[in-house]
Amino acid sequence: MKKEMGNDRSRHSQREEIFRGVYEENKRIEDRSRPGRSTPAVRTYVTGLGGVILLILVFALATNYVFQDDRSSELNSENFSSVTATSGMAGVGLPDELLMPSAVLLDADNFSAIASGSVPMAELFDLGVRKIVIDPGHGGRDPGALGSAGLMEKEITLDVARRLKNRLTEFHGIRVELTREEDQTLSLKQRAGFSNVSGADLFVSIHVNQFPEEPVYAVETYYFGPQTDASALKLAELENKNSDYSVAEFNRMIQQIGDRVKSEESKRLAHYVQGSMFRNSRILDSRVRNWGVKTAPFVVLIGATAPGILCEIGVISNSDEERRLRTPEYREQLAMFLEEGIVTYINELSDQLATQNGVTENATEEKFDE
Amino acid sequence: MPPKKNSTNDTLYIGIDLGTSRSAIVASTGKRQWVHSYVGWPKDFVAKKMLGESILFGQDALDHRLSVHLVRPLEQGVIRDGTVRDEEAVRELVHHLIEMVDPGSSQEIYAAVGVPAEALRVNKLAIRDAVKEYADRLMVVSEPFAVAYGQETLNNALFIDIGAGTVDFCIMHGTMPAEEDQRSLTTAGDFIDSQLLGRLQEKYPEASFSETMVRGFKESKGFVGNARNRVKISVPFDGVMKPLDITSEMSHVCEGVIPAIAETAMDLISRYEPDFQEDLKKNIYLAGGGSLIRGMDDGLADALKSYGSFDVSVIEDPLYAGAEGALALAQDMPEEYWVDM
Repeated sequence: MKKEMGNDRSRHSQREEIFRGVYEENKRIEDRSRPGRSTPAVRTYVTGLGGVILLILVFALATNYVFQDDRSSELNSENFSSVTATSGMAGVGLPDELLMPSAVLLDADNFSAIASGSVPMAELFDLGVRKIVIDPGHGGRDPGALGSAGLMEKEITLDVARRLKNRLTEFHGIRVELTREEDQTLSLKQRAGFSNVSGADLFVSIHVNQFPEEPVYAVETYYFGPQTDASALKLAELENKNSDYSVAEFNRMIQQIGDRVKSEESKRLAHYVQGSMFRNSRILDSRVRNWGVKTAPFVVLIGATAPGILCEIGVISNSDEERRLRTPEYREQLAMFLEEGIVTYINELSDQLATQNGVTENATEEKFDE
Repeated sequence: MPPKKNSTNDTLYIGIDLGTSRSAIVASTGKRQWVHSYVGWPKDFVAKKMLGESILFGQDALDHRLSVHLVRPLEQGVIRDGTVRDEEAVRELVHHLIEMVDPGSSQEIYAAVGVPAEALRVNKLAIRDAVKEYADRLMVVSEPFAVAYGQETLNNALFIDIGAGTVDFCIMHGTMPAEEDQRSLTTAGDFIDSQLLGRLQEKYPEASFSETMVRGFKESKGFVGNARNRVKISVPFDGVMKPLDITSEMSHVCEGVIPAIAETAMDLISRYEPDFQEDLKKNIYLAGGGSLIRGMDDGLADALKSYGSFDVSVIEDPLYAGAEGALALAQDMPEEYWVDM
């Protein structure tokens, strides 16, 4: 960390370096806050017959992405601006009160953007986050991974989940529930089912890794998909024990793999959480490696219909890490890191939606001026 | 080094310490003020009429906490809500602070603002946006860095800012501290308060305690090490005030934060360039409200003694040290760096 410092460095040059550092740091923030840095293409307005035809095509396409089980008939063009999807969306884990922004119209450029997936679907459809379900991995008869001094994964996941819940509950308008509040055996089906019944908008499953053969310090975050590598598949096999799903149920779940909103938002959430986990964990321990965002076929993630991730927040088989994991301070910090990732995801989504709504309101005014 | 720039008819330099518990401002005119970091909005029409104000700050807001929606925007060292109310509270607090140093209506305000390290990391944009409304030029820095700059201790020094929401660590090594030079713990002043409140409620279930009351006990009578005097307080038992001796509880909770601080300090020191680790051990400075807990410096040095000899000292004037440091930075900063800020 410490750079070699020559004793003869003058205070003047030290100050110069500090001034430049302060300036550059603030410049980075200032540049981020300037408008237009990430204005999605969807915020423009279109007039004319070609646009209308494209609009119809795009909504047909978009609704097909979201409603894969013929529930698209619940939406019709006459009440498009005020439709709520309480019943229609429940099955696919979307928020209770989904409102389609009436003035979001698209032109040819935007059509290709939507079709290519470059515009987040949650942003397009103004999806917010109101309910988060946190799943403390393992529990009850299933202790999960074990540390050499006897610490059990199930203890850590529950404590960190409780702390995370306390932190997130502080945020206005967000409700948080845990799949288990105590040391309790739950199948993966029960966990996912709880999330679905609760109407979760996000599902976050907390786990701890173990690599008894070698000292590995790493954090990683998964969302549902084909395994990224052999180790991801092995991990999925471990975490998929005690699934309690029948083959038929599993097949039905597989049908939903193409749910683009869920997959896209899971991926975005995973990136924010992994970024926060790694950046902060690295500050506490420089040995921590970033194993990144990966996909793997975790049953609990496919069963929960909300966008979901599975975080491996540490490695219990490292004896010094096991000691740290025993302390309330470290668990609080882990909860804070998870919180930062989740809140950043929500904030980014909110910022984008707010900007989008602002622009579309302006667009509507322009239309009336015409 | 060029002389510090002072106020002119056109320009006012200010340094602000935006803290979890207290916020302070110092201006290049010499004016300095502080407030408790609370913002209160009257709960309803009746409260507004009774208070005669649409918004209250600091002690005023605390005193009328039953009539207002009380917001402590940087609780736990970050803008908790991330949404309208907390950001609005930061904005109003900054506005209030600036008004307290009476800027001229035509003066350009050049502001440097120190914020908890965690807030700088998590809420950079929100804080910049909140402050920028009232400052023509703005730099935001982490609180311990502002303190270090103000102390003119830029090399081989460790600053530990024991705030209400977080304990922020910052190693100065002659350059702008990077992320790996800084740490934050949440076992800070508020943690002490909650521990003390929990212990007292458990031991005296029939007595009435509040967070504000307990914070006051800590600030006036908190200590680490040997007690000079017994800590005696009066609290209501079923509405009747009775004396209590809380010496052992106070000692326990104040000392309870030291192991985590010592461990983190040692971890940072052990990663420092080996040739300069001994220098660093002789330059450990405590800042923030927590540094005012009597004996905190000796307690930390004692906790570290198994790793060698350490000099731990509390900086002078900790209430204004962050704001003074931010002001010094604002005044020293070359003009060209302010242009697009």
